[in-house]
Amino acid sequence: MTANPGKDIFLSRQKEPPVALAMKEAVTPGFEHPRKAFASLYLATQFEFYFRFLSGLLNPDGSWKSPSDQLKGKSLLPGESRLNQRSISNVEVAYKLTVLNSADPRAVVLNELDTAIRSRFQSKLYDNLGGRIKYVRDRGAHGEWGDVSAEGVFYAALTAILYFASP
Amino acid sequence: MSGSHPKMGRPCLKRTSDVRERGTKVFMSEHSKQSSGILVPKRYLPGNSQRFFDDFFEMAIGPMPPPPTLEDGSQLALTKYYFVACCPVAGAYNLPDGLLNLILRLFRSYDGKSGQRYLS
Repeated sequence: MTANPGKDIFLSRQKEPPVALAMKEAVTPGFEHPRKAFASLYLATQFEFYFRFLSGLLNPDGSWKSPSDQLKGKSLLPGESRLNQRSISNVEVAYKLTVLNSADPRAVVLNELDTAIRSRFQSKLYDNLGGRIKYVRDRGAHGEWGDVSAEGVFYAALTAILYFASP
Repeated sequence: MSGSHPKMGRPCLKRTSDVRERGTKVFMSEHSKQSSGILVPKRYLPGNSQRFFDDFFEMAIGPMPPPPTLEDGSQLALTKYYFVACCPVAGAYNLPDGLLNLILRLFRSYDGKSGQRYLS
């Protein structure tokens, strides 16, 4: 990853030191390894940026690219009241917009993975991969849970999938 | 699968000690025969029926669907395969590391409320 050129959501500033290192640390065996906890939480925080970008409708800070993009988002998710806000600050909503962006091949991959995961286990806590990230990430990032390393392999694998699927 | 759950009448899932093969193997691309650098326990490799989830008898949700078909030997296909096979459930339930973290957490700082919240 570090040796390859930067991609749209994996720019050199982001991918080289932090993301690649965090992926490595997150999957390193050893449940008492504190670096795994740091790495997992770091990876968890990156997905909102990825999904905002991949939605095609949002800027990296979560604001709408244009009023017409906001209208398009509302038409894609008519029941989602949070789309009325000036910016989207919810990883699950950004994820939902991403999987509906058929122009990006990564949306197809995410949708495919979501379907495959759901066919194995239907959670009562979340509805999709974005919801799963939100459920654990929010509690980790807000300090309620001190260690989200149990999701480290999930985060690292999903990051790798987005990387490999990136043009 | 190796029997029935005594209470629920569902098939028992194999325990870790029953797993035939141990250790890890690096996924190899079918085309290039080069290492993809993805370390995966042998029992989860394509073609093996034993999957991560099967290690935990406690989940007892019944037999899992067959693993997805491996599309090709690309890094993307292999990572997707591993992702679906190993990460179906969030948190402590699907990874041994997470389960051990959970146990350690409960032993170290169990205060009743936080433990219940973590388990819910």
